[in-house]
Parts: sequence; structure tokens; C-alpha cells
Amino acid sequence: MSRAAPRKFPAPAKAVAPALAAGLALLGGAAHGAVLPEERADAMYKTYDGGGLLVKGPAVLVRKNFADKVSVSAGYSVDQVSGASIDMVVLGASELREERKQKDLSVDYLRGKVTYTVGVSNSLENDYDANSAYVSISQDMFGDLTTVSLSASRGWDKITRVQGRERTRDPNFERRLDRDTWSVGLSQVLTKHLVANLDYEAITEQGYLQNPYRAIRFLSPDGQSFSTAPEVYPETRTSNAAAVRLKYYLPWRAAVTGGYRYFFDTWDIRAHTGEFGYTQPFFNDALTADLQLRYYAQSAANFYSDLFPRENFQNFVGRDKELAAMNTQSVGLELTWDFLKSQRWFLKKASASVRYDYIMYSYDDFRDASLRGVTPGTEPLYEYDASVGQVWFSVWF
Amino acid sequence: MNGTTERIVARRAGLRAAGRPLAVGVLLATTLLTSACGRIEPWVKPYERERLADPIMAWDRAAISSSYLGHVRENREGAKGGTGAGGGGCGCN
Repeated sequence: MSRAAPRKFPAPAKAVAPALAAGLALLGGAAHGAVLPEERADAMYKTYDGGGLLVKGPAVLVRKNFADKVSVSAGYSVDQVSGASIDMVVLGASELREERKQKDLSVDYLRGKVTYTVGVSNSLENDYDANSAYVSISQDMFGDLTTVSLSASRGWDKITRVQGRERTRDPNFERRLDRDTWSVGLSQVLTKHLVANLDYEAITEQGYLQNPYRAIRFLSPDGQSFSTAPEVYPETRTSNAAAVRLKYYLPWRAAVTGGYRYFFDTWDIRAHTGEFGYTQPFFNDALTADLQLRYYAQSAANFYSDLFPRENFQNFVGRDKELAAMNTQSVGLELTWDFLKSQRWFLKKASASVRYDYIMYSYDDFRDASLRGVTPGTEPLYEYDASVGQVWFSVWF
Repeated sequence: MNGTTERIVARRAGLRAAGRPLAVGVLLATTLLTSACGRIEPWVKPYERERLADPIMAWDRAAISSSYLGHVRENREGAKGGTGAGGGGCGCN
């Protein structure tokens, strides 16, 4: 018996976008301590191709300073999403074709060794509207060897549901999700060649945390097939993430980066992330190459199962592969060509960059249920590769 | 317990779980902030920070790119956060 009859599936995890934007805005703003960030403008085109989904679209980011005290940053990004993920294939949903637009605005105010930052963000889709606002304070101390940052963010999401080929909004479905984020960061100069960064972040979420289209599957009484039913998630989630990163200037002109993050939440997900990076300039600094390796592994949420034994097996049930035990391995290569390195017209410098990331996703308890004629629970474990491409131009003024 | 009570209890438990490490973090940060005027001598002098000021030592040279990559990762992984709300300065000014 199939109770869920989804017609579409939303773009992947929309709720994190504003929080992510807030974090990155902090990175580019308050994180710089007692110096305003450089004035620059970036224009990018990006693509993601993997797991049956194709995402592409432009993005721009502009930062302008005023009177050596105030820095304003504004960003705009569009994601055009098409295709069908494995979840949509299993549920027989029609292919997705939708658009997500994100707008970000932040203002930094520098006073002595303290930077105050406020920012807002909005991400809008036809069935998901996410808004967030944040404040941050950052101070340099100990002879400017140390920078401490504190920040708080609040997010308000409105989740709706579209239906039918016309994708009209279901007037009877509207849910809310609130999110509070608190973070503390410490940046420390350790030696003439080594800097460290420590971050801790706590996120509490309250409201509709699931996806209105996704379904679980459970074994039919004969054990030879499965049926589907809507997911039921807890309405609260508290997450914690602690990270340490180190960056070292090598004896020749190159830099190496290492990082580790530990994550845990009240859904019993535990995750480890390791990162390694290497930066090397070439040709008298005209070209800079970046190599990045990343490994990520997580355990499953306590209400996740690929295949439940029966319907109504427990109070909370989920089959989102993001909640499964999984690991990710990725390698990224970035090349930046500084084609203008001295003042010309109103530009101080300009560069062109290209980046490619290859990501491999492997699941330990999420099976390829799209295969027919296979006894449920014996399908091969799901895995897929994704390619992320980015091309962007940057100017400093 | 009815559903509403369960939600309230779960939320309080969640907030308590988040509150403990958060309180430690805030206490640590406050201690650092309030002791900023101490007599700690910078062990790396400003004139010794040339390499740290090199652009290749920046934590994030292109926010527009890292923003998108972060979005890609957070959308497909269960973990999130801790990606850099902390300081990124090298004290090179």
C-alpha cells in the first residue's frame, strides 16, 4: 500500500542555505578582525552534476567599504535544478525543474580592534522560503596574535508543498521551522609560519524538519516487496560542531592546510571530517594552484532505516540518505590566473579562476531501491559520483 | 505524555544538551575578552608576520566559491556548522 504519491521532490536541503550564508558572511566579514575586508567583486557560473540531479546558475558577490569604518557585502545566487534523484525515481515522482534564488546582505562596522557585523539572508523557492538574520562581534587581542569572535543567528523557514503537473501550491499545507545558531571562534598566530583556527557552533532547530515529499519504505507481509509511507521526524534537533584548522607556510613559497571537525546531534548522528589543502604559486605568482582533499564520515540517525520491518514500526521514521551511515571522499583542484596585478583604470587587480571538485558518495545502509525484481533489503548499497564545476572572475577596486 | 508535552520535553532536553558546551565556550571567550589587556608580550612581532600576511595564507581566498561548495556539502551530508565563524585574521595590519 502506498500512501504517499509525490509529484515532485524539492531541491536538496534548502534549510541550511541561510545558515551557511551567515557563516560564510562572518568568514568574510567579522572574521578579519581589526581590518576591513578588501573591496572586490566576483561573478561566477557554477554547475553540480551527480545523483541524477543537474544544478547550474550564476552568482555574484560585491563588497564595498566606506570611510575605512564600514564594509557592505551583497550577494545574489541562482540555482536552476533539474533531473530526478534516486528518491524521486523510487517514488515515481516526475522530474524536477525548479529554481532557487538566494540574497545576502551584511554590514561590518570597525571600531578600534573590534568589528561588529549584522547580516540578513533570504533563500526562495516555489515551496520553501528561508530567512535568517545574524549579529557578530570580533576582537583582536594579545598584540593582534589572537582574534576572538562571537556570533548569533536566527532563522525562520516557511515550508509549503506543490502538487500536480502545474505545481500549484497546496493551500492546506504550510509548516514552520525556526533555527538558532550560536558560535564562538578563535584565530591564533602560533609562530611566524603557523596559524590556527578553532570554531564551535551550536544549532537548535524547532519545527518541521522533514521533507513533505520524501517517504520511508517498509516490508510487505510476504517479504518480497515493499510499500511506502510518509516520513515522520522529531520536531526538534540540536547540533554541535567543533573544528580545528591549521595553516602552515612552507620553507618555499607554498602553504599547507589541515583541518578536522567533529559533529554530533540529538538524533545520534556523529560525524568526522578531515581536510587537507595545498597552495602553490607558479610563474612568478601569475598562477596559483590549490589542491584540496576531503574525507567525511557519519553514523546514522536513530530513527533512520533503509527498510522498516512493518508499517507504523516506531514513532519517528525517516529514510533520507543524508541521515544514513555514509562517507564522502572528494578531491578539488583550483587554478587562479592573476591577469592584472597592478593598477589600471579603477582596478587594483583582477583574476580569473576555475575549480573542479570530484565527490564520491558511499552509503553503508541506504540501498538502491529503484532496482526491480530484487528482494527488498538485498539491493546493492547506493553510491554515486558528482562533479562540481566553478568558473569566476574577480576584480579588486 | 501527549504530543505537545513530548515536544516540549524534547526541546528542553535539546537546549540543555546544547547549553552545556555552549556555556563553556561563552565562558572561555568571555575570559579571553576580559583578559585582553593583560601583559602578554606578542611572541611573533609585527615585522615577523610577512609570511602570514601572504595571500596564500588566507583561510578563504574566494568566498563566492567556498560558499557554493559549502552549500553542496551541507545539502548532502548530515553534519553542518563549524565551518569558520571564527577569526581568520593573522594580525598583519
